[in-house]
Amino acid sequence: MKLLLSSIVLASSLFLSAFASAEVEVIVHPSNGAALDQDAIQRIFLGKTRAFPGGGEAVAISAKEGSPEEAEFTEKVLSKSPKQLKAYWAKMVFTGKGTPPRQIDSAAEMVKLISANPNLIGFIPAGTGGSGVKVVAKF
Amino acid sequence: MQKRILLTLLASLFAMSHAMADVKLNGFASIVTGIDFEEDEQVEYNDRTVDNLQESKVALQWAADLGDGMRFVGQTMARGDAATGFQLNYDWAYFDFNIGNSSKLKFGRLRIPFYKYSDYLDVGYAYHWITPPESMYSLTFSNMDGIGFQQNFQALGMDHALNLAVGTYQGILILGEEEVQSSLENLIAINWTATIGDHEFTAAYAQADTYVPATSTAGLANAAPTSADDGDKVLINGDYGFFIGAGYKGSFGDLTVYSEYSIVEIKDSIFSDTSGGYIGVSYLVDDYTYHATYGIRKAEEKEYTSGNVDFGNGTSLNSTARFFGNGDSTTITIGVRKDIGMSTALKVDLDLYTEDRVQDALAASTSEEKKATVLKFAVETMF
Repeated sequence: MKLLLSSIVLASSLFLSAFASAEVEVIVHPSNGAALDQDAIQRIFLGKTRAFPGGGEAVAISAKEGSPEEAEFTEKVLSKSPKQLKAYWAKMVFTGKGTPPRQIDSAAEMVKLISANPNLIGFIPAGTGGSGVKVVAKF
Repeated sequence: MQKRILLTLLASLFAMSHAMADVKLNGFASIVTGIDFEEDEQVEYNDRTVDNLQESKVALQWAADLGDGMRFVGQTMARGDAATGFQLNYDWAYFDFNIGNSSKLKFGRLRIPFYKYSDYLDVGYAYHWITPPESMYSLTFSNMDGIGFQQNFQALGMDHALNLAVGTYQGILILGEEEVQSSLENLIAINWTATIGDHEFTAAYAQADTYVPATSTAGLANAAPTSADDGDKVLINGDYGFFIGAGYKGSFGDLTVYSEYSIVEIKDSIFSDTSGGYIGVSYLVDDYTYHATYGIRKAEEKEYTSGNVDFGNGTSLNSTARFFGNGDSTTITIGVRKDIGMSTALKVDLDLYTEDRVQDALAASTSEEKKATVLKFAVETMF
């Protein structure tokens, strides 16, 4: 019984820690030297600017809508609920002010694209980047 | 010369074929229906609300990316019409160019940046009401042909968006209950929005030389030439018209408060000085948004010194001006919106409308209070 209980406690804590570590990393091309804080990242991903701080064209790409990393990024970095973000882009699109970032199917695909293009900025589950990209922030 | 034209044509065709690979389609639809419980048969209000599909609409926007920061955007929208079903119109059609990192230039048919919700007035999904308050959103036109410029910038710890548009409008204005052909020349509109956290401030100014031909409405045709006053002060013949508006929207957790106010005047004309606004609050509980709004609209009719002379048909200049004025009105709207999934909303609104105005241009007519109690239902979606 004791063993069963400890197993349950252990499994639960592992489960919880897995949840707690669902962090996202914002990534750019290794040659990108821009200083990117949450505000700067937010401005790029909400279409308020098309440049990195200090210059250079910035093109945001996003994970697939509804994916865990997209939900995490929307809440923690953009400080919006998924519905608020949807309504925000509805306003931007139907006013001709902007279009949402292109959605990329997988983290691997995002890493591949960003490692080949210095203008891109995206996000992936923490620790899945590799050497082809530079992590500029973790949330 | 012919060679140059041919080259230009070929270049455009190339651009178009390139663009065809990059066309984005977006759309939205609103289906609205409702019922008025009052017996007053308040004509004007009923006209603007729903016992059919008058507020329903379906729109499709397509944006072709032409490369190098240039796009072509077209938006068609079909509105519900009691008599003819859905009527299709080209709402927008413009080229836009990115300039620098945070500016944009547009050429073509654009939205006039009057109100906070001007830009997405038709996209019901983007706000909680079924219809934005009539007291504020009472102008019958929203598009213009011309050039627009948008600029985003940061200053004083706030995000600012500046929207400037210059052009013309030709179409309908409302005088009394009548829709009259009109035109706005040398139209200039400026809209500024500042955002700090969950708080947004808006201010707008627009001006134009306003023309409504006297022949476009019997009231104006009668009133103008027979007036002992300066006819120029009656006719709407290139007069300076202006719009001034201001607004605020702020969220405090799940609670949001919002307000807007505007003034519209056309100097030296029979058009009344009008003002209107609203104040409201909404509260978010899970997928439900509960809201209440109080709106008010006032018209100060022009009065002419010798304006009480009977035209021979029971009307006079002053009674015509009074009728054109639309009187005063208040609207209380309470409602709830329920979000379903990520891109659909169901809405129920109850509008309690009261107006105090003359119902015709006869000099003997007095102001009457009329009411409408309208329950509306809507399904809004976007795709």
